Amino acid sequence: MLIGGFAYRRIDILIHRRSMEMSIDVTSGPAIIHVVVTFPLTKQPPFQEAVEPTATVGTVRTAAMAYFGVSDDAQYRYYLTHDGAKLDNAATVGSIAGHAQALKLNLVKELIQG
Amino acid sequence: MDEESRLNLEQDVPAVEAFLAENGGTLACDASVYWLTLRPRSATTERYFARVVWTRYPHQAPSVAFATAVRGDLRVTRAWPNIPGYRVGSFDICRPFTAEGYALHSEWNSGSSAWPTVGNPFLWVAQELQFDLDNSYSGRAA
Repeated sequence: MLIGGFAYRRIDILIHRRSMEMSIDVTSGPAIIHVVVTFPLTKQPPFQEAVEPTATVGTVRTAAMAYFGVSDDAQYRYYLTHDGAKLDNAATVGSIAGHAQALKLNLVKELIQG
Repeated sequence: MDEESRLNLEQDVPAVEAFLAENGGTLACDASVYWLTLRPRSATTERYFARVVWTRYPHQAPSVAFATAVRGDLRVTRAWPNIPGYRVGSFDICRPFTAEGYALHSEWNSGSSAWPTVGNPFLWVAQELQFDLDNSYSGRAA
């Protein structure tokens, strides 16, 4: 009985640990975020990449710009936007996605005002 | 507007409608004249009505101006948002995505500021207007 009782307690502890791990996973967000970047001035389909939440917006911007064949120059800078807001290149994808497993961004071409 | 332009616009307009809807806006159309209702992210109760007129799509930049409403008055300063390059006094947008901007700056016709004809330029114009309203807007003009 003592052994059986001990076994039950072990199962309880395991279940408790598992639920704690699950709750930690939920609060920290997904391990991989599927990022989609759209850009209107191309015939290419949207840029898509699965990245870790720690990946920066700048990394995604660089990869998306290479995919679309555009680059910054003296007249233009390209920005990623989310819900209309210009994103900081140093921000992480995870900080913008929150708990979402997918993130839709726009690549915007902005004139540098002279 | 020629038949080719009309067919090209037919193909690109659904993406513009979808983009505007995502941002709380709408699109209305009278032949080659499109009316974009736009909302700044920082002032969700405000509405701006941009008239976009295409002549040859996608080969030429459109004329863009703000009106008091869809099909409204185009010569009212209060209809305009305060945004750098949006010249309220002249009722034009001096930026390389409008016919007025290219007319004022012939140097914009070459290099990276040249009018783009690949992809969906109408969607790009809509995104530029929305981007400016979301990131460079400082209230309604007096």
